[in-house]
Amino acid sequence: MKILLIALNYVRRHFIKFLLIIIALALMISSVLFTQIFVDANHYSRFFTARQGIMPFLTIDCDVNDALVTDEMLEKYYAGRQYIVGSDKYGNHIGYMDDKALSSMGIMILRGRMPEKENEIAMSDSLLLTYKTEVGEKVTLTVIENGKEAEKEYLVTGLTSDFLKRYNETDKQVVIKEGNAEDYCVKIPSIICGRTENYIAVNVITGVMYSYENDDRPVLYLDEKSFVINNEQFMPNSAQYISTNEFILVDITVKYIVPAFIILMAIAGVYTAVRILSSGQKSNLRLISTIGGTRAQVFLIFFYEALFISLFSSLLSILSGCIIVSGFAGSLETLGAVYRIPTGLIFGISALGFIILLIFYMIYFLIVSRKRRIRKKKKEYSSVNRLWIKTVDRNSGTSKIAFSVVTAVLVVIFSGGCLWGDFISMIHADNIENAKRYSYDYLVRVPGGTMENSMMNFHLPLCGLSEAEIDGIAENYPVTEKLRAMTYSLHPYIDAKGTIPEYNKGKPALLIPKEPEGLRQAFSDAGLGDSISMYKQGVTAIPYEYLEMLIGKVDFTKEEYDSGKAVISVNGTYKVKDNIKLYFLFYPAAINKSDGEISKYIPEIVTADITVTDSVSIKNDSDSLEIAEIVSTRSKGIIVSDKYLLSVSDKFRYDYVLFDNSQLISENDAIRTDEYIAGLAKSGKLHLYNHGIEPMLLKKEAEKQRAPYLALSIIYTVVVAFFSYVCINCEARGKIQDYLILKFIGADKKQLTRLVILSSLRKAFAGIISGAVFYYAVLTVLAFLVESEGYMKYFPLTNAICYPILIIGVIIAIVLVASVIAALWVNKQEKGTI
Amino acid sequence: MKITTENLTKTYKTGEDTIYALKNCNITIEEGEQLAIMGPSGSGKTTLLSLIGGIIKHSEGKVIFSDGDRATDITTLSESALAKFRRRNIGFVFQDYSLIPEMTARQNITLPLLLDNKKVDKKRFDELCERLMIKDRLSHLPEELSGGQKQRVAIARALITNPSVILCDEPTGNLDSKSGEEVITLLKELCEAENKTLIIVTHDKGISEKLFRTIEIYDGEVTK
Repeated sequence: MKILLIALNYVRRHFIKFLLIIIALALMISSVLFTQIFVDANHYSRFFTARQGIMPFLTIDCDVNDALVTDEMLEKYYAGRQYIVGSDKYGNHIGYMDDKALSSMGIMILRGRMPEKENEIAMSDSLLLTYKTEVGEKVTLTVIENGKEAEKEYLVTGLTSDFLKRYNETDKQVVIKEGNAEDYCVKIPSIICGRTENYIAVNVITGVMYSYENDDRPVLYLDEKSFVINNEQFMPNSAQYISTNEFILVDITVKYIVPAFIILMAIAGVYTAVRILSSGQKSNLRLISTIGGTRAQVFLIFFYEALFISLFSSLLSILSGCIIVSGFAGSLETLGAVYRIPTGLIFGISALGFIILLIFYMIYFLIVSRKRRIRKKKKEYSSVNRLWIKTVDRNSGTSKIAFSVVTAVLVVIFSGGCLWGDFISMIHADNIENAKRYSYDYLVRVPGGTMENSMMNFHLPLCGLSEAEIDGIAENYPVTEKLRAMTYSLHPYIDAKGTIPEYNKGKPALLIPKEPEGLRQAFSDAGLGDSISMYKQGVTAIPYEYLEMLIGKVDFTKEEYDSGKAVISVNGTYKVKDNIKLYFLFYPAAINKSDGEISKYIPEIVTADITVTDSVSIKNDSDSLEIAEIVSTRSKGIIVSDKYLLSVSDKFRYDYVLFDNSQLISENDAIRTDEYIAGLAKSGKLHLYNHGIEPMLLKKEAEKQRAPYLALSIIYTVVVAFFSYVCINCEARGKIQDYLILKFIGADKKQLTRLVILSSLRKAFAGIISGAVFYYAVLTVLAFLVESEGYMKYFPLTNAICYPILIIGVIIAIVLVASVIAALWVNKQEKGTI
Repeated sequence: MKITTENLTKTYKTGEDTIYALKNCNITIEEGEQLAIMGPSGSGKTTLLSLIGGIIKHSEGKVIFSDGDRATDITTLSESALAKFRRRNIGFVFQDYSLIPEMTARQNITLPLLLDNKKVDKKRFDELCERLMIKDRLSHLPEELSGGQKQRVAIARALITNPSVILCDEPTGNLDSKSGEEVITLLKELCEAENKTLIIVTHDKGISEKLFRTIEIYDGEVTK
């Protein structure tokens, strides 16, 4: 208790000095934390971006990943706060997801809980069935450890909804805690979209698309003039590929260099703070030596003091550091990225802070307990400024070095940070250009259809070809393939009004794998009779223009057709003048939030009475369009106007025209098909995805990625301003006796102020020059590395010069302000100070 | 240069209490006069010397330096004017020598001239160093000099600008009696030779006896 009181009393007496050291240490902690968060966020941002579909994905088989896979840091970034979503086939379909990502992907826990520890796993029902296990039981899985297969036992903690089943019936989903990453052979922050062998691989950094191999799920793009298909082999450009690898290496290197600098700067700052705290003890130390204290005794006395100071300051600094970094991270979160403070690092860096503080404190006392050696300069000088700089200032020792280091680091960090931000922007600008180049007015997704093979539709890839290139491909492509491509991309995104319902945006197509449970009962309850009749109806909604194109001249007007007065029976499904009750099934919007278990939803049933007015027969003629196949899988049904169908209810969520492309369409019908597609485009209903938004999104993304770099630079400028203030004032206080002597022998206020400023500027210049030399040396190497690959055409050289000039100006301003404050203090001192 | 103090007072405030370090001091020191200020510790001797030298700010009163018809009350001068006045008219010698440890003896001595942007008068510099017996120690740092040598360097620095007034605060306080006597003798001779006013604060009665006049201060008041 007594010791505690003594300690508290000690803190009270040296409160301001303690405050300075705590601030210095807190800044060090927050700097390192922020750096980690910044690096983390950068990767996370990519992950997040990929998830949002703004930029496509890295895939496990893409060699670019090797560079990232070897970066073990990636694993750490996500450790302890992400889940891995994977399939039972290890290495496939792995995504690192947090709770938000899990939720947005429709992965939820249906029973039990998510895995929290190592050796815990949550599985989808199909997987539970495969392994004949249940929640709460243990299951032995084959995993890959150190490249070899091994058996590992997991506790099944929960049943998850099946994310992968949505895309591939054969895949089964597992969710494990990120800590189990070793179980998996791939550790990359990406979502894999696509099956094992078929996917689009796009570099998340440059946005360059690498392969489109064996993709049998083409996406149809359509602009106002034409449509194109992009399902050709698009092999990676080797130059781009190599330069991308280089870029990744440089990116990673920078991410290591930056924290190293920050720690260096923070250490210099802490040392300065230690000097301030212990400056008052110099005389005590000498006194103890004078009255007979041995060197060991003196050392021990100050060791205990250092221990107390370090422990006390470190503890308070953790709190302060976390508050500072939370503030910064919080404000950056508004940009859309997710920032988290890595808790493990807090304690690590605090321990480091404690040790550094202790060591510095002891080093400082070892230095001051020795007799100071003054370097003599015998030369005569004609000005007091020069004499002062060459004698007094020349002997300022470690503080000069510390101050120079801090300044040098600032030049490098700020200039490098800003330039790197530019570089990121430049790459994104390139992507924006690409996006513009590959931009089409609309991506056509024909309403209706199924999604089994259309996983790519979940995210929209950037098309890798120019408009002209695509036109060329389109010209040489068989028209049957055009339609095939179109029909493969059937996608029920559009509602009756031709707009994309909010709940449908970015969602996969609705797949109803089996008849909803209770549907028949609902039919019966509604007095609609046998629900089988609904299935037999085979209603197809076709625009009037297309109808004419398909079956030739019709003997009713467009108005009659669109108002529902003309109804066509196909291949004798109904007779003319038959009165038919049409059934429409409307599913609740919530169905989109389910994970494919649509069967449990009972649709709302709406009916409409129509009368058949016409009948047509459609032959399976290889020389004609297989209308029956296009219209209905059963080659039967009725054709009504799409407009009429839409008029039945404004509740349409999905059009339900079912196209099937199992049969190829004859090339001879190219013209008619083109007309049909042109008709679709003109209808307005098919406008689904406006690519014009991509440049905007990319720009936003560029700003988001650039922001942390700029924030980092600004934060360090603030940190350096603090350290400069401390350094300069500490220096002035250390030299106060000399300044007072000058004052007594007649130095006026201006002369003293000039000396303080000169002394500070000199140290700042030393730092500025070393920082600039180092910065340009590194820049030259980086420029060589990147430019030598030929991909990155230029470094923004103007900015490479402007940023250092800007920060040098800022440093000089900081030094001037701090010097003037110090000079004011010096001028205030009277004789009593001596 | 003649020095006159009129009701010169210096007070310090500690909480609500006002402590008089010097109270209504009225003294006149004629040009070329050699004055000793004596008194027990804490009596206000150094305060009086500092006020005369303009090193500390006064609370009340005046300090007038008269040179013929020209009189300057230094308490009314601006900071820069006071610094300039001090630089040209007053030389200081302190008990702790107050030499800048990073500068050699030569650099310390010539420092006041540099502050005044004046060139070193080599003849005067050599004469002073000769008289003060420090010619062979000029390239040494203060830490390489003995106490007596340091004080002689300090005296040389005080005299290099050829000031009219020399103010000494316990100049022999850190010296042995022999060195102390040498320093006082030198000071006295140098001031007599150039008709400079010399004011020395001292405890040493032996020193005061060597000077023309002695005043004594007790509790901030001049008693004799």
